[in-house]
Amino acid sequence: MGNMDRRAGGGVALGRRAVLGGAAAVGAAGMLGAGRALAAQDVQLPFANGMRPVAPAGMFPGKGEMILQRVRAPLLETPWEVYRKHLFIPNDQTYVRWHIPDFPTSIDVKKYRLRINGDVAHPFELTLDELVKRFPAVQTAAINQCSGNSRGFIDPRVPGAQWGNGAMYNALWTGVRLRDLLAHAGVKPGATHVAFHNIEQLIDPIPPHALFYKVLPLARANDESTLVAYEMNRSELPLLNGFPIRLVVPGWYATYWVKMLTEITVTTHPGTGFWMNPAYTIPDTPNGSMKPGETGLKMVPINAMDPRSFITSLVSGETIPAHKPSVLRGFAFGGGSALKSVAVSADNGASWKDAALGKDWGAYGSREWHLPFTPGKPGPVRLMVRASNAAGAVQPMVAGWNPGGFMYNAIEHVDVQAV
Amino acid sequence: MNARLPVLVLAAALAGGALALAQHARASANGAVTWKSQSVDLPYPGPHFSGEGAALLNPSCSTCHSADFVNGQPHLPLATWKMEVLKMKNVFHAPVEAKNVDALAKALFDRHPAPAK
Repeated sequence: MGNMDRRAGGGVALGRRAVLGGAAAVGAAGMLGAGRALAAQDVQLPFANGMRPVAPAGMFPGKGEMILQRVRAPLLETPWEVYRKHLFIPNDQTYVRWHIPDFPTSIDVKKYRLRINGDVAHPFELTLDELVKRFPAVQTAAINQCSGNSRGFIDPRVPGAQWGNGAMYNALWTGVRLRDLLAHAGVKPGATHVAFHNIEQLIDPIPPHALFYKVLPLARANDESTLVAYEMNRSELPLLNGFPIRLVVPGWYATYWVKMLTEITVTTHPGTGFWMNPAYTIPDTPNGSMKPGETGLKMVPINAMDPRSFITSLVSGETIPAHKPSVLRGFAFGGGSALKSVAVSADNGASWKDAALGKDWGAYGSREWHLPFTPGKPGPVRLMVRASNAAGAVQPMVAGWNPGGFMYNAIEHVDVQAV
Repeated sequence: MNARLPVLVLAAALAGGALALAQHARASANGAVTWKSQSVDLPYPGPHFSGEGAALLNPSCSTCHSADFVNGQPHLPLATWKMEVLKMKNVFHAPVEAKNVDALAKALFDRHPAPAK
């Protein structure tokens, strides 16, 4: 494992599956079942036991070709090629992550309601039409990133969704500000948190304490960036991404972006459900990082994201001209605060050169970067990219470790050949 | 009549262009949103366990999830597999008998050998 190229950016390759191509082929056949075409491709994510079938377009509703991590409940990863083509990820290729297959496959928009209640002066409920018409619309670009994105690269490995880098997407969100809804209800003095329930209704035998709901501190809920979104990239949300409405918490990991949101409850406690504690907790340390086996650390709910950056113009194994300028390109985001800078190193991190940043879509969205680069001589070149954010966080050479495999954000690289 | 035709053609062309640009967009400039109910099919149930340990794993695990996610896990310590089995039993009430916890953990451990160095 130590010698493996651990950068998914360079490592994800689609390949025709060999006939009788081993365990993955057997799995794909079982997954597809009778009456469906056999998946034609596998993808090798660049870590041990990283072979996955590719779900063909249409296998999952509203979804194109996706890396299939799990059929039930669906876990679908965005192929790396998509990030090479799009800054805003098309709705049919955004990753999908459900914990429990207890969400409905039909949504009746006439019957759907959003309730705002708890420690408020005036609890109320809204139809979807009322949500749109009674509150001002806001648009914002924001990265939705799974807390465990890139978990497959964490060393030592930990259990959980073994994602490559494809559990994130930048999108343009349209919705209403959560704080407008809370203000309309009138938050009572003494309230400290807001809980978010969704349409999921547990299936047998799962007990009530495992029902999915998430809780935000009141200040984060009242932040002007937090939205109840009804559009993603100017279209309705795919059902698997939370149709008809989901919470959008720009700068924070996607575990809080509750899909199929139905209830917003103002409370005085941080929540007692499994999905707030112990699930999705991190050590209360810088970068949520600890040593494997370390004990006695205070654990807190995961929160703001780290900065990350990626090279998209090249993947490992490609060639570039040795004595002619090439333009390196990619994208980056600041995480919990705005992207401050992106720098590239061609000497294993000894020196860094700042890249030019593209259009600023807002503090929490992805931003393109580019940098002209001329290799000095023919031979192998390792290109590294590093982002820093306004709050002072800088990507580390080696990612921090925690038992949940959360917040991976090591400096990415590609290995190319100058010829 | 004839004089108006080019205008209509131009308008049609512009409308076509706008549709092409915003293929799936539904929000208009004034914020109107058309809500349409959705009903979808999912390719359930997905794969079950096969091979070594399947007879033990399928009745314990398949109620809530397909086997592919588990099959994609890395090599993990036996104690970690036991914690996962206990989480499924205690948090999610997976149909796991107490006497089978260790055997399940061992079956999962055995299915995920250390990668070749």
